[in-house]
This record gives sequence, structure tokens and C-alpha cells, in this order.
Amino acid sequence: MSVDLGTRYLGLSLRSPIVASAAPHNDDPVVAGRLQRAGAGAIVLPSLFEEEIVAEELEIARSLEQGTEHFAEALDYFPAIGQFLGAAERYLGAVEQVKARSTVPVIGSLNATSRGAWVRYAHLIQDAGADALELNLYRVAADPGR
Amino acid sequence: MDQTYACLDGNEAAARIAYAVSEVISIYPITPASPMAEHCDDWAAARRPNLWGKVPDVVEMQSEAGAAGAMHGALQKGALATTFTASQGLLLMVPNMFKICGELTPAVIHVAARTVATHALSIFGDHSDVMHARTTGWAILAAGSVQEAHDFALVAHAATLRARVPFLHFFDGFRTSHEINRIALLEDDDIRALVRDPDVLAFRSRGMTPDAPVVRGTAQNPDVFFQAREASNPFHQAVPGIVQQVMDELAARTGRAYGLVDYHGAADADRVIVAMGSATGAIEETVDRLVSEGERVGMLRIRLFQPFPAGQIIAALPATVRAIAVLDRTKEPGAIGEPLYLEMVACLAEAMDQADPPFVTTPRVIGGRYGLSSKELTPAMIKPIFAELAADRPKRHFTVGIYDDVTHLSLPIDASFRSVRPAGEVQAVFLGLGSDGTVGANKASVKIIGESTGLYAQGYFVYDSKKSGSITVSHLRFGPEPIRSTYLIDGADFVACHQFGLLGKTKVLDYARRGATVLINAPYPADEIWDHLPVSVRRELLEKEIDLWAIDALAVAGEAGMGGRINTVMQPCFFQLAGILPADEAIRQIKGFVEKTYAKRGDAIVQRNFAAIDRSLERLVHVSLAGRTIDEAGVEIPARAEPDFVTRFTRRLLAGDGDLLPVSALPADGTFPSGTAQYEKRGIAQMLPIWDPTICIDCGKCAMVCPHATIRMKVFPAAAVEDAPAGFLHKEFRSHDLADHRLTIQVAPDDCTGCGVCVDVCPAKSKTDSSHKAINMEPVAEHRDIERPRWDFFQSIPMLDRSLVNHATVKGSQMLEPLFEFSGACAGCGETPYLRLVSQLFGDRMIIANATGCSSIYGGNLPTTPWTVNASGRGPAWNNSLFEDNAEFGLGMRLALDAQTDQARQLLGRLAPQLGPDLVSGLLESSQATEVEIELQRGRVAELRDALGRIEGPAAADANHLLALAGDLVRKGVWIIGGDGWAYDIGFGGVDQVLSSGRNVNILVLDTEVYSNTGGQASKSTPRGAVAKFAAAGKGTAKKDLGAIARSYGNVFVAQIAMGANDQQTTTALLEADAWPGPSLVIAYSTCIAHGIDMTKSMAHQKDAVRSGYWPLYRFHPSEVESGKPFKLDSATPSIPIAAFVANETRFAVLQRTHPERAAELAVLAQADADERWRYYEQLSGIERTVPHVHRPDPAILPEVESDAGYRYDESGEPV
Repeated sequence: MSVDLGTRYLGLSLRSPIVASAAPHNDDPVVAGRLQRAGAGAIVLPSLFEEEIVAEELEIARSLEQGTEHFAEALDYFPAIGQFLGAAERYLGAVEQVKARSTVPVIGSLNATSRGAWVRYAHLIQDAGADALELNLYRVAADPGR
Repeated sequence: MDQTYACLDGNEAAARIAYAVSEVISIYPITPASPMAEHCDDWAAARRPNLWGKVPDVVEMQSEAGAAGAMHGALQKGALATTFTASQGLLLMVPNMFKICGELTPAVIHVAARTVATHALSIFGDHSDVMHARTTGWAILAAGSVQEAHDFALVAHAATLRARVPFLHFFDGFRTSHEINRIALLEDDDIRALVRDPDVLAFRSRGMTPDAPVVRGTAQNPDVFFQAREASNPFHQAVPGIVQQVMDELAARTGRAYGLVDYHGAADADRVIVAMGSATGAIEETVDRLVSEGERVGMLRIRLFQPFPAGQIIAALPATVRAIAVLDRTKEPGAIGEPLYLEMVACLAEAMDQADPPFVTTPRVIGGRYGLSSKELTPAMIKPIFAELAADRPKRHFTVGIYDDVTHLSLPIDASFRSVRPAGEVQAVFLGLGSDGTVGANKASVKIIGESTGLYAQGYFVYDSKKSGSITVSHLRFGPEPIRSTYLIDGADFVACHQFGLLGKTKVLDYARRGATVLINAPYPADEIWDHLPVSVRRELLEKEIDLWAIDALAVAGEAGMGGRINTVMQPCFFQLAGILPADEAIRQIKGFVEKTYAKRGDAIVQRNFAAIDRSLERLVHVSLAGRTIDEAGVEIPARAEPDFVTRFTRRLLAGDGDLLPVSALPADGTFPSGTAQYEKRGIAQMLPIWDPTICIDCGKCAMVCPHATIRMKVFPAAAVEDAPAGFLHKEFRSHDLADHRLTIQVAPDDCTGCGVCVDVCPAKSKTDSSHKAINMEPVAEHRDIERPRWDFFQSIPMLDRSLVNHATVKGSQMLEPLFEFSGACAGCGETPYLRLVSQLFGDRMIIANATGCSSIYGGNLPTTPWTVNASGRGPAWNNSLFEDNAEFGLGMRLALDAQTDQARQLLGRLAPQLGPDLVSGLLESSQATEVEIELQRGRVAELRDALGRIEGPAAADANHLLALAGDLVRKGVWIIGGDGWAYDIGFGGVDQVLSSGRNVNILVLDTEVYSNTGGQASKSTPRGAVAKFAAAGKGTAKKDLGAIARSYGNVFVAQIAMGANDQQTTTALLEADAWPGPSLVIAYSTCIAHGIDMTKSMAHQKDAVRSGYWPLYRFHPSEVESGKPFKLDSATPSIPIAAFVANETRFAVLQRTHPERAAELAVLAQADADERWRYYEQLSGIERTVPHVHRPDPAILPEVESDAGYRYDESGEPV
């Protein structure tokens, strides 16, 4: 006798109520495939943190500019570095790849911090193919200024 | 005709053309030409095609000789090839240049002309390199401006194909190569029109091919060589005509008309200056002013130097000319005159010896030298030349720009004479620190103004020779007319000081004219600024009636999240105050530039810059000087005692007054005293490491890792601090052997760079607050005045007797005095800790051959050197020869030392009757295996010198010789030091030769895995997957195993070390290398700014390098024991993957983001490299290998002596 475990969540039809929640390797298509074969009803990707995006941009900029225009023989230390895939681009690429290989819903997860960023990244994650979005909203019950 | 304008520097202007018309570009980096090659590499990486749709192949070679050889091969195969170089690099190409010219092969070498090293090295510009190369027969085109560098690049490439004579195209290093100017760009159609297809096809048809084989490069005999050499005469004779033809075609397309020579000035001039290169800009301005005042003067500008356009010169000179001054930007000692002078003399002599001579009387010709190593040539220096020409008996040979009080060749300088500034021109000078973004912002301002306002713009940037805390001075000019002023600004309309601390420390207001606008970045409210200004600055502000403005740029930058990068805060203020663009338009343009530059870095950077820009103007304040007076006397800081040389010479350079020093102040042979860096006291640290003795565990790691010897450990008897100033910190020193001793860890507050590496490595933490260590970085303002007297007292405490210290431990080594201190290396430099350690262990008995590179710059760039002496006046003797010859240079020192020691020993034998058997046998038989023994030998040598002084009669001659050689009876070490660019690449042949020699030298390779000094070009030491210049898509090949090559000899001691991972192994390896009586090679992992790491964490990175197996630690001890296993792995089995190590270094991490698939492939290979190397090294540790040797006497018969490093020697000093 088989039991129908199907349910609905976020307007999505899930074959099972067991959902793989956000975890570090869920954005690896191989891992996502295994979760699927194991019966997960949906897969939540690890969170995209706005702090991670900003920290990476700042660190790469800092290290590429470190020591520049300082010493006449070495005005810079790296060849011209063009556009690169930042944390956000890599995340969106992972969304696309996992989605392309999935038959279960793929849910993005977002942890933004600044005004405008929530909406901007939510759109991008949606456009990359995510079926739904987990928003990590939080409020710290303390005054950061004190 | 429609022209596109752009603001470029000379290097980029030339490179654009060279790239467009080349298929193969083989290069080697050398200042100031490297950027030409780097631009080409960037364009190739971006797949930009040349004129024929192919992306040129840009290949970095091992040296300029290699680049020339590769270029020659490519040309012989019929590919269009070019290269870029300067100075010694051009000299290394000369043999190939003779061949290329002799074979009538079209080619162009672009040269950013630079000084050839003589008594000193110089990175700056003059013509000594190209003038040396003239004997090769190459045609030589001289560009005098950025526009000409662009245009003549094309003329050269076009003309060489038509003439089959190769061309040297040069422009002045730095003055033109690095000057940004607004130029009209040549379009592809212009290039195509001049570099004609038939010429290209004809060139290709002569390429080597087995389909129609020929033989070139034959050997010839006396019967035919001469005739064959003369057979090329018609080709060289045709060059001037061809060049003019190409120039005329260029003029027809662009409107820019050039002649092989051009005359400028009065049509009836009686005095003319002849010159070439950038100086012609300044001379032209001077001529204009003098002509406007009625003087009959002019200038003849030489553009084609070789073949010398004699006919065109005679035709261009006014018939009225009576006296000609020829200016050469080179020096050829021993010649009657320099090259251009000699050519002019011969040209005029030949012209006057014709049937119809061009002049009534032969014009008098005098020859002058100017501008060596970018010495300025200004109107104030040029005007006196015309005055000299008017004299009855002018100096036949003279110099300008200096004061020669030795041979009295110099002409006076007329400091009051300036060229007339064009109406509407603005001259602006900006002073900043290297890390604050000032230069970048100014380059942006030049581009904004030059490309969007229709105004002409010029930017020239002066840096000092330090790699941290460097002061930058930007000279910007903007105006409605092309800017010809090829000299620094004097009398600026606008001066900006972007760092408040520079006021009073360096010349700032000197640059300002009377009534100028001055903007300062000041961390004070407007009404408090005056109180913080040095008296000298206040005086200048009032005397020059300065209009003063201020902004607290650091606060604004901090609020915008920009840290210390204040450039985008200061930039809008400049535009507002200079009035070149309306403020709104300026802000819009600045933001546009920021977006263009930083969009690829991410939105966060763009937004932060925007925030800084938006806040800037509202925080700009005017500082009223109304009612201010100077009645306070300046505070006199009592001068410290210092050597006379420092007062007369070093201090003048430190004050920026070097230009004022006369010739007599300079050592004629380039010899300078040691120990001068201690007088700089740069005070650049923002934070200082402050010691908490209650937590310290005496490990000595802080002192061990310090790049600058600015945090030190000292152990001393308790009595030494009885009179210590209050507050001087010290703690008990626990030791079995040294009772009642104290220990202090002390910072040198005015020498520390604030790099923070010492705090990062400190292992001792407070039990109650884990963020508090035994040393902690604290703000300098709160601690400098406290630490200064502590440092002074610390230095006065005598060093502990070295014989009481175990040198072979980290703690022991740090109780020894560093004889390498306060260098100008980058904060957190990975190389300098090794040098500091070596100076502690061996400093008073080492001779150093130092390759060109970072270590020669921070080790020996004037005004100071960090190599110093101990209380006995002994210290490392240091010398830099060249780049490619350093190993041989050091071998030569060892050969000389051995020869002189041998001779001294012989003389001892001959003088034994006079000296006595005890002294002689003591001197001859001492093993000197330990420092104690060496000190005893020093005592004997002192006794010897006394005794020799008393010898008279027939033995006196021998005694005098032995007196001169006596010092070489004391054992000395020869250290051959340099970076990986030298050891792996250009100097490798020499390194190999020296390793094979079996002689006792110690080679220390400071391996940063990249050409650090010239800005991060890949070397054969660069690892697989790292991004570097000429490896923009990650280096595809694995790192060369230099140690393996050295180990192949079997009798070479080889070690691979990394101080941050294992400071004990580092210390042991260096001691063993010194003790090994044969060749030693130590490869030292050196973190570097070019790795893209946080330099504070330098040492932590080294730990990961070793833990991942990326950098195994080992020592290879040659062994004469049959079953000896010489290879000893000193690091543990790798415990983290390579990926974990490289993730934290931008040089690897950036590839994952720009070329993720390639990065992934290279990562697999890099891990495989590390795994395989470990597998191989593990096997090596078990392998027996013996050094072939002659059987030794039974050690039971001869006593053994133990050396400092555990080596055992028999009594005759031979190792057992």
C-alpha cells in the first residue's frame, strides 16, 4: 500500500513534506541530485548574504589596489582584471544549474541588509529560475549604537 | 579631418601602434618600459586583434637577451615582431641587434630611454642606452612628446618595412613614457595606409621556409666579410628619404607635419641649440620667450638621429648662425664629446669642406651634457646656454642643471627666468601618500579634462623610492594650447596637500606661486587649523598671500566607507577651486569615471565612492588668514649627534634638497657609508605595537618576523636598568645560564611602519581577554611620545656578549643585534625578515652580492641604506652589480677572498721568523668553526697588525702586504642574495655556474614567486594557477624546482624555508648553510604584496603554504657517509588541501572569478603537483646518497671541533 505524501507549500505542489532546508552544499548540482533521489520534496539553496557580496567586492578591490601608485617601478601589481563573477553571480549561476537538473521545486534563500538590495536580489533569484524565495528577515532586540 | 583625442602616456601611445602591427611580441620587464609590454599583454588577454585580425602572441622571456633572440627568430621566420626595453635591457639585446641589422631585417624596438648603470643604478631617463646601441647600425628615431611617441611608433614600423633597416624608436624614460598628455589618436586606416601590404608581403616572402630554404648566419673569412658588410650601404643611405616620405604621408592624413629635423625660432638666429627628445619642449618655450624679447636664437630639433641627416640639418639651420650649442643627454667619458655633438661637428666640417659652403664662417660648436637620470632641464637652465653662446670664448664643453665645483663645467642657472605661461593655463600640484589614491584621482582628472572639455591636459607624477609611506607629487597642467613644458611645475596656481602630516616635513608651499589657492586635508575645524600648522608653513602662507581652503577628508572618507582612500573626496574640491569645470559638471564626470573604472569591481565600491563624492563639497571650508601674524619662534629640536656625512649629504637628500648639492658633495666612485636609515625617522605608522610584559612569554617571535627591525628583544643584566627612565618596561628573563637578567621587547616608534605582523604572530594571549596579547596595536598619537624615550634608552643598553647566547634558537637569534634595519620595504614585506635574521647571525663577517630587485632597492636606494654596523664598526659589506650577473659577482668575491687569504697565509709563513711561531701557528691553525673561534682570531689579527708595524728592513715589503691582507685571515661568509626573477630566470645561468663551482658561497633566494620590484610579472617561480602579469589567465605551467636542480650536483647544501611556518627550521637552515664549506642554496618563501594578501597576515599565510604541501620545508645535507641520507623533510604531511591555501590569496582567488573553468582545471593540476611532489620528496628522504670524496684519516687520531651548527671539523678545518 503506498501513501500519497503530496502537499502544498508556498503555492507549490510538493511530492513530500520533507524539504531539504538551506545548507552549504545544496547549491552543488550533484548534491541536489542526491537529495532529490532521496525523496526531498523541495530543495532550499544556501543563503546569499549581502555581507558576503560586499565583503568580497571590497577585499578584491583592496588587494588589487594595495601598493599601487606608490613606487615608480611598480605602479600596480596585477594585470588588468576585468569583470569577474562575484558572489551574487556565482549564486545565480548555481540557481540556474540546480534548477535545470531538478524535478522538484528549488527555493532560493536571501539574507540582504540594505534598502533596495532585498528587492533587487529577489528579482534576480526569481529570474534565475527559483520557484520560491526564503527571506531571512530578522530583528536584533538591541541597540547597536550602545 | 576628424580626430579622436585621448589622454595617454607615452608608453601606451607607442604600444598601441606596436601591438597593431605585430604578430609576435617577446618581452622582458624593465622600468620604465615594462608598461608597454603589459598593455600588449592586457590587450592580448582581451583578444584584441592586430591590423590583420590576429591576436599577437605576447611571450615573456628569461631576460632581454632572450627576448631579443626570440624576436630575431620570429623575424627570420617572417613574422612581424617587436619588443620594448630600456637601459641594461637594451644593452643585452645589442648582439642580436647587430645580427638583425646585418641581415637587413625590418624590426622595431621601442625604448623608454633610461640611464645605464655606472656608479649607481638609476631607473630614470636619459639617452645613454640608445646612444650605446647606435653602433649596431639601427636607424634611431627620437620622439620628444607623447604625441610624437604615438606618431613615430607608426613611422618606425612603416619605414623599417620599406627600408629593410631596423629601427630603434625612443622617447625619454619617465618624462615622456609616464607623462599623460592629450593626443590625437591614429586610426587603423592611418596605420594601414602607411604599413603597406606589399611591404609586409615582401617581408614575409623572405622568411625561412623548408619549401625554399636558404642559409643565413654563415661564418665568413677575411676574403669576403668586408665586401659583404659594405654591400648594405645603399639600404642605409636610403633611410632618411624613406623616413621623410613616411612622415609626409602621415602629415597628409593627420595634418601633423614632421621633418627629420625641425628648426624653431628666429629666422635670423645667430645662436642655436641642437637637441633631441623631451628637452626640445622646454627649449622651444625658452626660445619663444627670448625671441619675443628680441633675441636672435633658435632651436634645431633632431628627430632622426641615425642615419644622421646631415643634409637636412645644414638646410634647416639659418644662414646667420654663428654659434651652436649641442645638448647631449648622455655621458661618454674619454670621448672628446658626446655623440650628438660629435655628429654635429663632423656634419659642419664636411659641409664647410664643399665647393659651396653653407655658411660664411664655420659656426662655432660647443657641447653640453644635461638631464642625466631625469635631472630637470628648465628654461632657467636653458637661457644661460644662449648667453654662453654669445660669449667671446664660451666653454667648449659644459653641463647644465647642476653645480660643478670640481671640474667647473656647469653653467649658472637663472632662477628668475621662466617661460611665459599661456593665457588660461592652470598649473596644479598635489602631494599625497601612496596609499591614499591621490595619483589615481589625478590621472582621472587629466582624462576627464583632456577628453571632455577640449582643453589640453598634462599629468606627470613623482614618487619617492620607498615601498611604504611613499610621498607622491602630481604635476598637472591644463590649458587651451598644447602643453610643451617638459619639466616640473614651479609656481603652481593650485597646490593640494592631501596629508596634513606632510606639512613641515616636506616641501609643499614651495610649489605655490604668490596668490595661489591651497587646499589641505586637515583633521581640524577651520578655525583650529592655524594652531596646528608648523611655523614655517604659516610663514609661507602669509608671505605668498595664499588663499587657503581645507577639508577633513579622512572623516568624510570614513563616513563613506572608503577608509584611508581620500581621493574621491579631494577631487571634487580641486575642480571647484580650480574653476576648470563647473562643480555640477565636474561631479558628474568624476562619477562617470568612477563608474567606468570600478563597475567591474562591484556595486559596493561604486556606491562608496559616490557617497564620498556627494559629501565632499559641503565639507569644503575656507580658512581665513586675516589678522594672522608670525610672532612665535619655531621650536628648536636639539640636533642629535650624527656623522658628518649624514649632516652634509644624507639630511639634504631627506629634505628634498638633493638637486642643490654640488658635484663635490658626491662620492666619485659611488661608495657610501652604511647605517644611514636610522636617521630617517619617517614616522609613518598609524598604529604601534605596544608591549604588555605581564603576558609575554619571551618567545622572540615578534622580533623574528619584523620586516624592519623595529620591534626588538634585548636581554641584559638587571644592573643595566638601574638608571632607566621611569616607565621603561622590562621583565624577568628566565634562564639557567644567565642569572639576574632582564628582558625588554621595545618598539622603535618613529621607524615602525605599523604593519602589525608582530602582533599577528604573537602567541601569548591574556587569560581574561583573548583579544589582548603580549603586544597589541595601539594608536600612534597616544604612544609615540611615551615610546620615544624608551627606545632611546633601550638602544643605550649594551648588547649581550654573543658568546653567551645560543644562536641556533629563535629566542637566542633575536637576542643578537640586527644589522639590517628600517628599510623602505613594503609594510609586512616577506623578504626582509630573512635578511634581518641573516644580519643577526652573520652580519659582522659577511660580504653581500645583491641582485637588482626589491632587495637592491630597499637595500641601497639613496638617500639611505638599512645595512648598518655594530658597536665595533663591523657590519655587512654590500654591493649591487647588475641583475643577470649577481651569482657570478658573488663568486668573484669568494675567489678574491680565497686568493687573498691564501696569500696572507703564505706571507705569514715567510714572516714567521719575525712574528714568532706561536702567533703564526695560532693564525694558521684556527678552525674558526664557531663565533668564539672567530673572535679569538680577530684578537690574533690585531696582535699581528701591531707586530707587522714594527717590522723593518728587507721583510718590510712583505709586512706591508700582509698588513693590507691581514683582515682576510678572519673567516668571512659570501652571501649571494636576490629574488626569484634573478635566480630562476635572468641570473639562472650564473647561479648554475656558481653552484657547480664547489666554492664556499651562500645563495639566498628571496622567493616571492613573481617579479615584485617591477610590478608582478610572472617568473619561472610563479606557481601553476597564479595570476600575474604575462600570466593573466593563470600561469599554465608548474613552478620550476630550483632546489632539485641544485641538489643534482650532490655537493650543494640546499634548503627550502618559510619563516612564518617554522622559524626554528629557518634559523637552523641558515646556520647550516653558512657552516657548509661549499655552495649553499637557501630558498626562502617570501610573502609579497603581489600575492594580494593582507600583509599583516604574511606569516599566517606561510603556515598555510606549508600545511597544504604547497611549500615543503626541507634541508639537503651533502653527506660523505656511505649510508647517509642527505634529504631531510622538515615539514609534516600536508593536512589541508591546496584549495584552502589559495582561497585566501587574490593571485589565485581572482582567477576563480574571472576564468572559473580554467581555474578549476589548474586547481586540479596544482593539487596533483603538490601531491606528487610530496610523494617524491618522501621517497627522497629515504634515499642514500654520498658525495664522492677522498678517504679521510681516522677521526680517532685527530680531535674534532664542533661548529655552531653541529658540523664537525678536523683540526685542519676540513669537514668530517
